[in-house]
Amino acid sequence: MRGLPPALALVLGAAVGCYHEDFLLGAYCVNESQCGDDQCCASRRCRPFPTDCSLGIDDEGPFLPAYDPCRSDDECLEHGLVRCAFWNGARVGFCTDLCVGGALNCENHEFNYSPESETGRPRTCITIDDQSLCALDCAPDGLCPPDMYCRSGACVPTDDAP
Amino acid sequence: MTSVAHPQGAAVALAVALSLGTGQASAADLSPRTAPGQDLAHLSLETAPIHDNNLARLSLQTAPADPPPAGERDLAYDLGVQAEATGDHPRAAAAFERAYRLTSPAETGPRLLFLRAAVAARLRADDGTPATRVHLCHAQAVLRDYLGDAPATLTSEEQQSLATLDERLADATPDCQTLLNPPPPPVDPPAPTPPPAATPKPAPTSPTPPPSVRRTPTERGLLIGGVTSLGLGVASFAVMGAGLDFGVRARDEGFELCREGVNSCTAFEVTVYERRERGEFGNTLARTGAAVGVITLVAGVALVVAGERLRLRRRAAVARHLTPHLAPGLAGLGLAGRF
Repeated sequence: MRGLPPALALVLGAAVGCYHEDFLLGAYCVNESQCGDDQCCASRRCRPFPTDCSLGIDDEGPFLPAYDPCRSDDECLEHGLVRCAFWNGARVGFCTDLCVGGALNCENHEFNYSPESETGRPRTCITIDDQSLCALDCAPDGLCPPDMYCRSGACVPTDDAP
Repeated sequence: MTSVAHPQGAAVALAVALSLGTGQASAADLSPRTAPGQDLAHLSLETAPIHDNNLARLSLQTAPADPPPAGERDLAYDLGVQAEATGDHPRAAAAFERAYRLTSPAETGPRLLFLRAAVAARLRADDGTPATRVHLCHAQAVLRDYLGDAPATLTSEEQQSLATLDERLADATPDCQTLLNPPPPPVDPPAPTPPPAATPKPAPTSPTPPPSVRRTPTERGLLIGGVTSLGLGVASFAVMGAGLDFGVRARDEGFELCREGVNSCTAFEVTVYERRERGEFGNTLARTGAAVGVITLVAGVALVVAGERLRLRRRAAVARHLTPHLAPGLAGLGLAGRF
């Protein structure tokens, strides 16, 4: 797609529209203006507006679509999560973001989440295909949310997950 | 008598000689001034009363052994008289000559009368121009025919008169041999037969090209404005294409920064910000170029069409009034069209 001839760019532009900022989905943000049009900055990540904008910018509550089972990236992109991560041979993937600045910038999960603890399941960054991805850490106790199991230190969806 | 140089003068003199020299009784009947009706009355030999002694004598003397074709001869004479009445002297002379030829030499009286009528008609047919001199030649020919086997009953005075007439005719028309027997026209050698050419196809009938009409300042302005607008439209679309290309490139580079790297991008880092700026600029270019391009293209087409319509209308008006007319030896302009 790099360096398209003007004529082809004209055709493609007519077909896909003009410049879009969809590449900003899942990017780390600290205010709304840093995300693209039709996006919001929710819990420090750019998400599609308005469907996934229930969290505030600095909200550390669980982002429900995160770590949900998936089969492809497209399923995750609907919620602004850029990858469907298949960890260590798992048959079912989970939706997640790229890590940026450490695991603390990854989304929380509602399991074992309590407002008092201010943290949910511990988070970690795993590497898949040379990319650092957010994941739920199960190394300490092997505990994972329902419909997930611990696989090589990270929670992954069970094979019969929906 | 002296020779006559002028043919017309010769004809008059010959007419006088013919009238005077052809006998006492016949002169009054067969001179050119004789009324045709009188001639007819006097020359209907079977029915007309004989007023003239000579004629009566001639008629009596020349009772034919074989009956001549009197009916045909009389018919020819009648035709001659009628032609004479209408002033058609050549036709009258031919008819009288035919009557003469149909009369046997034994019929001396009628033959002499027909001879005089024929000669007189020939003299009247000659108007003095070179074109009619051949009539004198015909007169001479028929006269010599008569003199060739002149009847013995012809008086010496009559013979002398006719000989004088022949002499004068010969003087007036020295070139009768040429006039009566003109050389055959030169026959052009047959042109080489051209090879059979293919039937030429008719040229396609194309409508007359409309006259060239120069543009008025208004039409020229519309055309220039239209072409300029069209050019601006094309340029605008080029700008739009460049803008789209900018946007596509910025988006691609954004994906590389935020999706293809090891870590996620931060929306506030400079590299992302630059891509966003370029993408926005590309969008602005594309939208502006598209809008301006559409407007200027439409305006350009409208201006050009308006200018051409004006010009075509004016050219049609010119064509309605001025139509070229071309023909061999003719060239001009005429008025035509729907009015």
